[in-house]
Amino acid sequence: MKPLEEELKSALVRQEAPAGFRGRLMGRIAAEPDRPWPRLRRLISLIGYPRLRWAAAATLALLTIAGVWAVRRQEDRRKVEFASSQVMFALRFAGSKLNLAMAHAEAIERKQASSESAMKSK
Amino acid sequence: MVYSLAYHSLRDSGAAEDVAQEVFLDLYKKLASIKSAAHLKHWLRKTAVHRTIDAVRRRKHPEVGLEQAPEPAVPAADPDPVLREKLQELVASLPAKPRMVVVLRFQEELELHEIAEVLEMPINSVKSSLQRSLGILREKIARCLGDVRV
Repeated sequence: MKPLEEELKSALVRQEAPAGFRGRLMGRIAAEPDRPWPRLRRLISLIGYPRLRWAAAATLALLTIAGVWAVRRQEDRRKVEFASSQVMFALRFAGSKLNLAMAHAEAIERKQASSESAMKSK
Repeated sequence: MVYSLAYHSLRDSGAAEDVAQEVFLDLYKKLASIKSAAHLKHWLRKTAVHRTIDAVRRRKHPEVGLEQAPEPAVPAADPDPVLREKLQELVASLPAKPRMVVVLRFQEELELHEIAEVLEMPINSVKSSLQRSLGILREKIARCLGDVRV
């Protein structure tokens, strides 16, 4: 009589799958519905893990905050650029008016000076 | 390997085939995640073991404790086939996890640390479970075979 361990090895020897197993398995695989977008499904299935779910939520929150911050910064920059262009326009406008007024004043001064010199000569 | 693991635990070829087919269908769905032949073997063994344990636990009839297992009939002239048959029956009457420990040790010839890894159990639990199962099997088989030394 062999020891129990040897008897167990003989008793629990590997059993082959019954005839037709492979055909039945292939039939079941063929009947499996097509799975569209397997990569997307795999990605979604990863979210099933609690740690990954938290990591995904944290990443999404960070991305949202960063996105909002970037949009606001862009808007602020646009406002500053618009305001500075308005100031520049106003300054240029004011400068041209001032030049005009100065030229007008100079013309008046010249006219007065010429009339005064004419009076003196008489 | 897959069918055999299920068969030695369930002792029902139909149920074992169902488990094996589920395992291979699962493999088909997760084929893209398999990285190597060694990974495939490890994955198949682990999935088969856990699905088999689930199937054992789902079965309607309660597991028969070894103490309650019926005594076998008087052995035939050639004791080996009878002994093997009886051993298979006794192994299949163990609770799900100790049963799988015995099947993995003697069918798959895994080391204790490998069994511990597959079953996600501490190695000391595997060792004590195996020793207890062997003790019970030895006692039962000795009782049922009478004067035949095991």
